[in-house]
Amino acid sequence: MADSNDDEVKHILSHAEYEALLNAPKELTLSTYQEALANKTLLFKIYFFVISAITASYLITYFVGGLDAHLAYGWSSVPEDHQLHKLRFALGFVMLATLHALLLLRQRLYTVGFCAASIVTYFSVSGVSRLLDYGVAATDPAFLVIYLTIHISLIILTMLLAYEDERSFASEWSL
Amino acid sequence: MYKLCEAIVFIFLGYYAAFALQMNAIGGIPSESADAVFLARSLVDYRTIFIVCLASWYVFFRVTGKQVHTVVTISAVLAWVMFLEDLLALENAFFVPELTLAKIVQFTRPLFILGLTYMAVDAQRSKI
Repeated sequence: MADSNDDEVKHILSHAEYEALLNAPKELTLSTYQEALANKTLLFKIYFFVISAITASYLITYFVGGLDAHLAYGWSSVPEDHQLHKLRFALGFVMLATLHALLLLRQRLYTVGFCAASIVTYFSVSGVSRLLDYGVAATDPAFLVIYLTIHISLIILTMLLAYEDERSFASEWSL
Repeated sequence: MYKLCEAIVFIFLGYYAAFALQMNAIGGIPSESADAVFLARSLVDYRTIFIVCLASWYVFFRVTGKQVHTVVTISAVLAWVMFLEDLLALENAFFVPELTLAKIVQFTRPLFILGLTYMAVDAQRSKI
């Protein structure tokens, strides 16, 4: 009985130690993917790789001109549509880079995941409505289905990633 | 400071809602191209829907005493995205100098963006 009490006492932090922990400098150091993913759940890893693969493929297809004829500016005569798409795909690239950078910096991804999901929702709602305005549902239904599938998948996956990150974080600290 | 920023944000949102209603009443932003008019009008409509949803979400969480830091951060990020779209892609296509409400929205927007950004940073820091 006395031994177990001694063990408990050993785990109590002194006030000075607690203050030192609170005031410890939070250095941002890049880790490797292996280190960053080591404490994550399997589902987190799956979501992360699927999001990265879908986004990278989508961005590459856009940047090589594969989407020019299908997106709204391929149907409309408005230069603003072209500018809008350039900016949105650039933001997509920034979001992907931010996700990877935060993971490697071992930051929490909950808020970032939901921010990304809301941005993709905004892009997708306004993008689909523009395509529907130009009758793409009748003339190019395959593209509309692919477009919707990509966006809805990304929205769901980023939200799931955010939840999984919280779960990974909770399980890491409960050890 | 947080409450002041909150007041600025909601005053701006009130002006924006009035502006969106006025835009619908006059049939959209005057432009040489019908496509451009439609693009601007549909963007104003979808943005209004997003703003109403996020503002309602925020008010509900504030009233029920739940944490608002995530919804404030999402709102701030979306506000910046919309601001960048207007500035870099649409070249302030929504600005109609003839409309007083449009002028008010245009001139108070930097205050709104700064206020919302401060709210997001403060909410994240103190996890309110």
